Amino acid sequence: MNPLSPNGDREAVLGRISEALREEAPRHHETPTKPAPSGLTAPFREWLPPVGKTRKEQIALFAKQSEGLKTEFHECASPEAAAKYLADLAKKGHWKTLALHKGALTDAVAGWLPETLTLLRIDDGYQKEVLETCDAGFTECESLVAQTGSVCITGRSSGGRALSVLPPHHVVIAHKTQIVTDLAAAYESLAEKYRDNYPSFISFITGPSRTGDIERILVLGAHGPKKLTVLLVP
Amino acid sequence: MWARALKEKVTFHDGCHGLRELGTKEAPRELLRAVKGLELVEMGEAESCCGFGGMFAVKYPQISTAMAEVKCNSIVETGVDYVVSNDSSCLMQIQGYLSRHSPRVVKSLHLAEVLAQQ
Amino acid sequence: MINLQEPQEQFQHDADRTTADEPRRAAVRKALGNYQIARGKTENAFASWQHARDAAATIKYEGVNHLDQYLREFEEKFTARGGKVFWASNSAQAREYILNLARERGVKSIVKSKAMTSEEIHLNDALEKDGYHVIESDLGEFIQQLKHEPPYHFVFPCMHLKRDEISALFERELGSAKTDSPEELTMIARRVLRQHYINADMGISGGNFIVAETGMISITENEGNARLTTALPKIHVALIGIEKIVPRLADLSLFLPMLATAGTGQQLTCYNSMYGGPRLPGEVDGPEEFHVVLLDNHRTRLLADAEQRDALHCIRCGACLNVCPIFKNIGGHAYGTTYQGPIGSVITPHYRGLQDWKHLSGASSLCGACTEACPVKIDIHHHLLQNRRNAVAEKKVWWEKLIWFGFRHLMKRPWAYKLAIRLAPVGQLFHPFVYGTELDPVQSWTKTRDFPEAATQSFHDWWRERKGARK
Ligand code: SF4
Repeated sequence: MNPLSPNGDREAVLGRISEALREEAPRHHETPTKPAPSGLTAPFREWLPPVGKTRKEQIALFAKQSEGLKTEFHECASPEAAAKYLADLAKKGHWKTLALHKGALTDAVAGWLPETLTLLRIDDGYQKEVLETCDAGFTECESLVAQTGSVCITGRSSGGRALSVLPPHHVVIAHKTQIVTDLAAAYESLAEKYRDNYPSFISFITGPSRTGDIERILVLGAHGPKKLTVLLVP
Repeated sequence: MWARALKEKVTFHDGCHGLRELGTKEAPRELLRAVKGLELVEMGEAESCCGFGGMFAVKYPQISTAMAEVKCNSIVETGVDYVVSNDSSCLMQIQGYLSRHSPRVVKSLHLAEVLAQQ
Repeated sequence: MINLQEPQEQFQHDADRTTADEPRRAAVRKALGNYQIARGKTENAFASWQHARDAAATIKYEGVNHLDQYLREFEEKFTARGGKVFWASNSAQAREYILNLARERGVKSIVKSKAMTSEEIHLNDALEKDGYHVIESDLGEFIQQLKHEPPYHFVFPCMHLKRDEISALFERELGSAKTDSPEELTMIARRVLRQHYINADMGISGGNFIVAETGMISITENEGNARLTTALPKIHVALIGIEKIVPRLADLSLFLPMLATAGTGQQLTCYNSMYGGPRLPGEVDGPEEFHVVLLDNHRTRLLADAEQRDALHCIRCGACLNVCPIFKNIGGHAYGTTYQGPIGSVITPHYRGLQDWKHLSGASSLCGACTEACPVKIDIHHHLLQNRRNAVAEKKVWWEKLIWFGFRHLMKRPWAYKLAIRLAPVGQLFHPFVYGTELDPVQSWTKTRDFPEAATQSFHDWWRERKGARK
């Protein structure tokens, strides 16, 4: 084989593609003719499962979805209350170390946490082995998606890629205003916030890690967190 | 045969072409329900292919027969005496399997045969 | 697996064996029965699943029919974000690139998350031959790797195994204690794999979508293994087929729920992650290098077949397998292909040769359950028919030609047809002597099924009589 250029057989592949596309393909589908409701980026939104219009309905839907997904969802009156709740979780789970990242909400909560709980801040880097032994990861998020009960995180807003997946328990904290209707809305808010400068990692987390690989029976905590807790503050 | 036995339980097999190419699901059932003295019992595998498929049935007899087995077990389970369909190829396959393997007699009928007796 | 037989012979042979294994067929049927219930519920929650399918097909049509344009856009955006793109015409080029990379960077240990493309190009064999330690991290793939067996189903790799078989496998390979709890088995794998994520210096994954607009790839998974694979090792390689394109990021807000619904009956898969290259300045972690290998490997051959081009819309949800009565009865391994089930039967002849793989298109009753289940509206079962047509046009089979010659002449001549009908009851008198034996001309029917008795009166006769009576 001739040594390939650094980007490989680029011209050959592209050449074959444009050659192949000279003949038009038949369509086996209808092109939806209904115009998209104004202001929506995605014209298919209306075919997806419906979501209520008010924030109250959306929070209720998120709570309902969480139940089905085995996500623990809890509304807290204040960051202080959230800290209490978290401290309780820590006590019940016999946590020693909580890993977290810097952020307005995480910091507000961290200030109220008991001193017996060791905090591991990962903002300036971490050792993989150490993060792996932490009992929980505590992060903020971009948005909470009502339609699917998902938490949208990014590498920039939620402490990177590993904090939310390596420890066995992931705790997320969010403001009520972070609830969005659907995935399309979550993408919209990302686009507004980041423009052409997206973080290198975006993820929709929908419930704790799971698998059905053995006899299609559901088991939680396959490789990622066995537990997911979402705390909502005003 | 059929018309004289007025209290009969039947189940309906959806032939794939009728069901998926023509989109006929309810029409034959409505007709059957309109037949006096006839009780329609749905089977679990109503929409599963019987495994006929033309040349497929003899080119891959082992697969075709396995499919017939699944279909016919589902028919027998309903406890009916007759299986009705609107596709004669399916009926040939189903009858062929049932008469060889069924623990009790279950007969196949074309929908037209049922209606013609009315 | 050493395979000395022709694919077609092997297929017949394997299908004989697997259709005779009723307990396994029953287990697969049960698992897929549960899938069907879950999927039904999720589908019904859509405001309109059918419209959503049309919308998805429209977007995929746009992507695939402007593939060159969108791949260029992806490359430009992804490269600008520090990622590297390599275009591979075939599997050899893809393997070579990844092996070279591993060699140059002094890689020792590799962790992989599920990638059917890697099965397609036999990447593990090549890496292991060169001395790398490679471990599959998806639970199902991990089990199949321990078993030295390819995946059974491209979404549910070990769905054919029962828990006691997995427990015995773990006992033997990992020295774990016997258990019949799926949960414990999962935890054993979790413990074993944890260390590998941390030690590995290269991660390899596939990808479900290539997003042109923002230069990202999207990976859908339930377990979190792909997230760990893309987070911890310092080099990442994603091996993706060129057809996985979607034009815009927001298109995923349709495809992610549809993939989950059709794939497993979930509303959304647990983790849907979009990766736009290596760790950026200001981010705390992520690989230093992120390579995307765009794999052609005969996909352009399928692309050139306009009639079947929509087969490249496939999002590999596996729905067509889950509803396929052939798959349910013969199982995934009998196909002998990387991609099993209806979609595999459609594309494999394009990827690996029509004459060698046309039998898969024949091994279908064309019931159409696949087409009905497909979230992107691929005309799957008609493509099987087209493959049959193309195969015959290319190379005739003499005995089939003979049969159809006879059939045509019989059907064209009313007198011959009538004679045949009259002779049928006579022929049937002799049938019992050879019934079901090797001498039976319809043995492949009568071996397992009864042959219908010829009616004493033909339909034509009956009709004529009836008309006469009515007058
Ligand atoms: S062909 Fe359709 S149903 Fe089959 S795997 Fe692909 S997308 Fe899913």
